[in-house]
Parts: sequence; structure tokens; C-alpha cells
Amino acid sequence: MQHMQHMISKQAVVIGSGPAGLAAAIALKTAGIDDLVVLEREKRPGGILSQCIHDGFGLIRYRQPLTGPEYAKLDLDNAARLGIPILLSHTVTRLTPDRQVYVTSPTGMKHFQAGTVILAMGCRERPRGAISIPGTRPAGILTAGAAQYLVNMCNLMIGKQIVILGSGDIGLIMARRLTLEGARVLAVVEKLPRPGGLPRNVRQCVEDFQIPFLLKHTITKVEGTRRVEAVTVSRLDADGTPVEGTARRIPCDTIILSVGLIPENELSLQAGLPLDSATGGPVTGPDCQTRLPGIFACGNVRKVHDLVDDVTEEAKIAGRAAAAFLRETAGGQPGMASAAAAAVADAAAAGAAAVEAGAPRKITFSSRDQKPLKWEIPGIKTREPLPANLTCIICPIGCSLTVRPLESGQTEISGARCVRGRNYAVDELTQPMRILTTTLPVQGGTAPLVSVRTTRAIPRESLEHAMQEIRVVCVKAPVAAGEVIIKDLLGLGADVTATAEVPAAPCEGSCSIRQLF
Amino acid sequence: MDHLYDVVIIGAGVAGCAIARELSRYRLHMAVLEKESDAGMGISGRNSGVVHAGFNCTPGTLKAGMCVEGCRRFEAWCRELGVPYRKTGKLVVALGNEDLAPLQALMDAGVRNGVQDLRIIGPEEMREMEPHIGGIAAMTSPWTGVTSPYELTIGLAENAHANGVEFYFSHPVTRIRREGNTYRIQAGEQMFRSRAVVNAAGLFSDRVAAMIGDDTYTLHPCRGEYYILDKRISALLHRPVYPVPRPGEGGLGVHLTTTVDGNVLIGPSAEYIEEREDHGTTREVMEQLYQEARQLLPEMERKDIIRDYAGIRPKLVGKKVGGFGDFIIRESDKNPGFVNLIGIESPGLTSAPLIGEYVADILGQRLPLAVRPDFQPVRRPPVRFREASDEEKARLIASDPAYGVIVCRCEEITLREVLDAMNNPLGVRTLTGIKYRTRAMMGRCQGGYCLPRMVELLQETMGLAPEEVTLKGPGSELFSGRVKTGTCTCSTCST
Repeated sequence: MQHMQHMISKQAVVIGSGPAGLAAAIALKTAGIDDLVVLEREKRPGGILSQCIHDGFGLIRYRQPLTGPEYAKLDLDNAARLGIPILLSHTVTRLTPDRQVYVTSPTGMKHFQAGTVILAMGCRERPRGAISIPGTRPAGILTAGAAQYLVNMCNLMIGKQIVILGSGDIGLIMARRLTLEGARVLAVVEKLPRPGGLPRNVRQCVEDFQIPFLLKHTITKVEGTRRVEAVTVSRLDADGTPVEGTARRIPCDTIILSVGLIPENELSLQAGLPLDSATGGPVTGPDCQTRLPGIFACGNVRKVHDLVDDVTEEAKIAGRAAAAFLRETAGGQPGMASAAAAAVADAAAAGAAAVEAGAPRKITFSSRDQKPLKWEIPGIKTREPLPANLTCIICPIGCSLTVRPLESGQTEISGARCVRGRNYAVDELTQPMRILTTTLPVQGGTAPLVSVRTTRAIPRESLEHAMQEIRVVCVKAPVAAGEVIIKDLLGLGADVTATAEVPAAPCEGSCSIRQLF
Repeated sequence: MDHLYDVVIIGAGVAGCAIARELSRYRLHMAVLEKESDAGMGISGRNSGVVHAGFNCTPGTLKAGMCVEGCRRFEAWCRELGVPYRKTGKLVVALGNEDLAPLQALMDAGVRNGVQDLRIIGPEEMREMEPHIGGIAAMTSPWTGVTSPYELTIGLAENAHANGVEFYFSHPVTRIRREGNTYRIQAGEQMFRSRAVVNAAGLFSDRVAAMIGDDTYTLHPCRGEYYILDKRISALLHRPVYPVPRPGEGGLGVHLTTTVDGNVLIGPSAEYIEEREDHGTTREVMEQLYQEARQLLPEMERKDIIRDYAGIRPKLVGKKVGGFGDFIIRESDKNPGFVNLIGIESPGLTSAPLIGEYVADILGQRLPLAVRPDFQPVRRPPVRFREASDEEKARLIASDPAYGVIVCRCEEITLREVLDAMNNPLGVRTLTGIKYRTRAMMGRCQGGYCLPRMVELLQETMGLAPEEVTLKGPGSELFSGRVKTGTCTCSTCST
């Protein structure tokens, strides 16, 4: 047919330009695979990180708390430097077992024959239907990720009185985000006896703002015909059944669902890949190769990860293994076992820890395996009595710290695996410090908002004041990533800088003209 | 201001829209008044979408006649209106020996109603037709089909609109007065005057009738809850499968329905309720649905559920009596030119083609029905990119690059389709309206991915302010405003 595209041969096709896809593509390119392409369905590259404006990314890889857009930018810049092509608004609609990739794009239907395919499609959120919450279906019920996109990218306020169901990290992050923007988070409701998210998020997103955490509870009814009017929450018994007499009605206008992430495997299923019932992702070997030779999976499409650092590390393994696969197939020796061996050797060469049989290497933090340490420091004077326990929020390990006054007048801090834990404890007891991330409105840009951060942590007690100070500021496009927008915020010694770039809109004076694709 | 209409129809459900579309053949000035934000937002959008063959109706009733004839005409009707329809056939399954006699009785009633090709089949033939279904015997009904009930209602409304009928959404009727030979109808803030009125107000038809003094009708709302299952399940089922109905129940029993889009529905339950618009689902019924559906389809799992919803039947027969009443479609005794439609529950969808004609016959005695030479019966169906061949897809993208942008990944809906839906002729700008017209947000992620994109598009292409974006009309706003309202004082921006 005249409009049909002819088949395009590529050594490697990477599906998705989030952290996994970028790291895999960079690894491929670094291994000498030049004929590759990254396919991205969005009109911007970088995946989900662009809406994750909070800090906490790269704590392992870069040993500093980056925001999502900052973490993404490092990989995007690297990919650009290496000349890796990323095709935007390209949606893969079909994948065959022999690595044919069918794409729908504004420039036509495209058909790739790939030597190797790397699946890096990420994950999606479990919707309400999947957990069957009884009640009505009015406006005001959103998944946490959708809420995050609307608030952080679209400048839309989703509600004022909010109940969060589930305690996944995105839900916790949104609890803080919405509180800082003036909403009231009435409760975080979790069916399990413990929070789902990382300890650092429980601490700085929920406890910092005195948001009630209802463990072993669930929403048993949603009320409201047009907009959410209230929820009923009930306590759950050991079998997960609501306990009679514990129902409590909470008037609210919004429900945010943070009830789990599922690997995005429509394409994997289509290609006939067997999925692991535990992870929901394709079954892979230690080199991330799926059961179909030459098709690799990495990042959240393989298994939902807590940390982007782990995603990147896993994607590097997949990229190297895919390069090894290409070398071998070119040499006429296609074989999964040897490709795996090459990847393992590569990983080992990169100074990685031993690979567990049957699963990609678990990332080990340098300090995770160390014994908890103990310090005696000059006595800490606090307004309130010393809390028995603290959870360190500096890195994702979340060490459990114990603080104890000694008879000598000194204070003992124990439980941390590194000195940062001791420093954190001292700060937390005297002057808790937090990095503030938020957004600012942009005039004349291609996006309505720019994400910003404080360059360093500021006192927790100053967060509200800082938000008020920031609220009256408006930025004019273009904005460069890293650009200082407020110098020395409130005299606290921290600047407010842009964490992403916002180019000027092509049409002058227009604040929201945006390309549709 | 209060212009004189020939006919005002109250209710834009499938009955009201079928009547509007049928009457739009004639030189009549007409308006449809609807309290919700779109057509098909009530009973018509919340059912199984099954086009019934007619064996469930009591022989000799208005229902039986309309259903059997409606079923025969349905395929051609849908083709004319550009609406999906599939003649799937149906199985009514006997789960145990006690179901065998009622199954035979059902078949006898069907034969008396004139339903063709009904047959009782044994387990072997059943397994051949539906290998994953339990049960010991079944009746097969080859004439039963499925349609998309909301797309049909919207198709009727759009075709009526194309033929000159005016639609007023978010216009709840609150008062009707007779003035000589005309009626004055208060709807929302507006007053309408009309020579004739059709009360097709569904769940509220008894109350609308009472506004004009016809106070003898009482409807009993009977809620039916449904589950929607992932498309994975459609590989296990080819046609709707029902149990043998139990006498005295308000519905046809919890059944499995294949939809035109490849999902499977479980439901509906039957529960008499007090509040007419309580579309809430309940924990107890949801559990019961799951258990009953597992009897019919043992392979189904809980993780296959992607959504739940409820519809409410406008029943003329209360809980104590049980079962079904006949449709009431007649001119008011006291009010000439005022036609009431009361108790239009199942099989109202199947009967819709006949309901339109039936009401036209009644009104023909009051109004001159002069055929319009320019009546256009055909509605061009919206483009369904996902159903096109690769060659057609390539051609579509070449004609408009917006066909090359997938906005809803689960259902493979393109930007062009969404923009077309946002520009629909009825002027509906709600998220549910876009969902019903495109299937965007109806897939397994339930809008987690594309809902924010729909919101962006409504703002960017339709110029909606944040506060104007609604799920389903006034009161269902999604946003309280902007997060940041920078007070910029520069000269280029005034916001």
C-alpha cells in the first residue's frame, strides 16, 4: 500500500525513555551498538520522573538527593551527548516473538525489525475497580499518579479535603504535596498493619504534618452523587474483613488511591511472554533476558522497584546483555546462556556484587550490611523529652535510631549504619531540616509550571513560611534547569532553583499554547 | 424566549431519543429536556446492552410484541445509526435439575411470542458452544444480540439533532402547567411552551406525570449492580450466558454478558431501594455477584474485575408482588397531547425502535405529521481507529497526523477521535461524554493514564477553565481551581 511504511531494520529497539529505557540505551551505545532507537509515546522524554518533583532520587547513584526532573536530565543529557535517537509520540502497539515492533506515530505507521528489543515501559497504577470499593462513582476519585500529574504538571488543584487510600510512596508524597499547597489531608488509610511506602516518606510526608495514619483500616463506602461527599472507613480484622461497629464517616471531597503499581505488560503478553505471578512482570534470567531470545525487560516493567537507582542499575545489566546477545548472534552463536554469562561478567567487571541465580543483582548499599554503630555525644537539649526511636530519612535504608540520655550527661545515639544517621538524629532533635520542593507558575512558557527546590535543606518549621514567600512569585519563560529563581530564601542560606527547563512558547504573550504532539 | 414547540420530550434516555429521532422525520419543532449533562446518563447507559429475542416477556403484552419485533429490526437500525451491534446469540443455562422445567416453560413462552429458532440443547452441544461454562442443559437463542446502549442513545440523539431537534442538557423539569391547548414546562431556569409533551423521564416518569395531575403511577426503584471484567475474559465467552430466571425476582438473574467492545459484564443483582438515584455499589452484593458468576464461569478470577457500577430499574411492580409489569405508553386521560411512558425497564432498549413509532402514532392523532423530504436517516459512525486495518490506519494518519497519536493506550484511542468527540454536535464537554463517545478511560487502567490528558485537551482545545472541567455536568467539577496563581505584574500577561 502506498501509505505503508517499509520495514526498518535496527540492531536495538528500546521501548520507553524513562530511567530504565535511557540507562539501557546508554549501556547499549557504550557497548558499541550504534544502530539503535528509543521509542517514547509521550511528547516529552524522561518517563514518569518529570512529574516527580520531590527529592530523594539518586541517593545511591549520586549520593545526593536529586529531584525527579534532575535525575532524568542527567540521563537525557548523557543520551543526547551519545547521539541516541529518541522518537517522541511513538506508541508501540504490537510486538511479535521474532522482535518485530509495530508503531503508531503522527508520521505514520512504522514497522521495525529489531536484533534485540528492550522492554522498558514502566508500570501503571492499580485502579479503583481492581480493589472494588463499594459506593458511588462521583468526581473526586483519582489515582495518586494522576493526581501528581494534574497538580505538578497541569497546575490544577484537585480538592481541599482529602482522604488517601493506600500508603504507597506516591500517595505519601502527594499527602505532603497537597498539604503544602493548602489542602487538608484528613487521613492516610492503609489495610496492612504497616505503611507501604519507605520510612523516609512516612516520616517527612505524613508525620511531619501530623496527618492521621489509619493502619489496618479501609474505605468501606464512598458517598456523593456528583462529587465525593464523604467516605466511611472501617477497621479490618486479621482476615481483612471490616469489623462491625468500627465504621467512621469522614466528610471529604477527594479520594486519592495509592493501592499499588502493576508492571505495564500489554506488549509482553502480546508477544507471548510468560509473566511472573509474584512480580507481574516477564520471567527473566539474571541478565534480564525474557524467555524469548533477544527480548530483555528492565525497570518497573520487569518488577516494580522502590528506587530509581535500582531501576538504572538493572537497565544497565539489560543493555549490556542485549549488546552481548547482538555480538553473539552476529557471530552465528545465538544462545541465552552465553549472553547471560557475558552480562554477568560485565556486571562483575563494573564492580557489582555477585548475581543471585535467576534474578538480577539486588542493589546493595555500601552501608546496608554494616553493623549498626553507636555514638556518645555531648548532651542534647530538647524542648520535649527525647523520643525513644527515630527513623533516619537520609537514605532509603531508613535505619532505626535509638536516642538515650546517659548518666554522664551525654546522649547516646545508636542504630545508624553511617555517620549521616548520627547527624540526622542531632538535627532531628534540635532543628529538623527538610528540602522543600514545589512549583512556580510560568508566563509565556510551553508548560504552565516549573518545578523548583531549595538548594539545601531548610528548617522544617520554616516550610510554611517559605511556601507563602514562594507563592507570590511568577517566572517568565524561558526558564533553564538550575536557574536561581529566589536567592537566599528567607535568609535561610538556601536558594530556590528550577529543577526543569521550560522553553518559551512559540507564540508570544500566550501562556498556555502547547503542541498537541 | 418561551417559543412554542410542537413536541417537547422530557428525558434523553433511549426511549426519549428514539422518539425524538422517529418524530424528526416530520415537520415538527421539537426539544428534548434532560436533567443530566448528556444523553443516556440514566437507565439507558447502565444496563447489559443485550438486544433480547423476547422469550422473557409474558405472551400477549405490549412488551412481548415490541421486543420480538424490535430485535428483528435492531441490526438494520444500528447500521443506519452508525452504532455497534453484534448478533451473538445467547444461552440460558440450567445449573441443576430443578431448572429444567422452568427452562422448558421459558422456551414455550418464547415460541408463543414468535421468537424464532429457540432450541434446548444438551451438555455436549453446550460445551461445544461455550467450553468454559458450567450447567447441565441450556436453551439457545440465536436471535439475541448485543449493542452499546450509551452509544446507541447518543447516536439517536445526534441523528435527531442533525434533523433539527434541539437538546437542552442540565435542564431538570420542575413544573408543568396546561394552558388551553398548550403546555408550559419549567426546566432549569427556562420556560418551554409546547403543543404536545412526551414524558420519557425513566426513573422519574411517575413524578413528571404527577406534575400534570396523572398521579396514579408509582415506580419502585430496583438497583442492579454490575462488574466489568478485563478483556482477557472475553476469550472464555462468546455470547451472553444467563441462568434460568427465578420466579418473583426483579431481574433476569445474574448473568454474563459479552459486550460489543470485548469486555464481559457480570450482573445485575436486583435489590429494591428507597433512593431513586443511589447508584452506589455494596460490599454484600459485589461479593454475591462474584460468587454467582463463578458458578457460570468457574475460571474467572477476582483480578479480572476492572470496574463496578449500578443501574436502577423503574419497576411498576413492587417487591411484594415481584416479577415484571407491562410497559405503560399512553396519552393522559385528562391531558390531550401529553403522552406518558411509565415503567420502561428491560427490554426497553430492544423495544426502542417500536417505542418511537408507537408514540408517533399516538401524537399523529393530535398533530399533523407531514414528512420532511430532507430527513436524513443515516448517521455516519465515528472513526474507530482500533478496528481499522494497518493499511487504513496508515491512510488515516496520512490524512491527519492526529490519528497517529494514541491518547488512551488501553483501548488504542487516538487524539483525532478524542478531539472529534469533544466537538460532538450535542455540545457535551464532560469527561463521561468523551468516554461514552470514544471508549477512552474505559480500559483496564480506567483513565489512570489518559484522564489527565483528556483534561489538558479540554482546556487547550475547548478553552475550558479549570472549574469548567466536569465528570458529568454541574456539581461534578474536577478541580477547585489552579494550584498556583502567580501575581505577575509584567506587561505581557494579565493573569
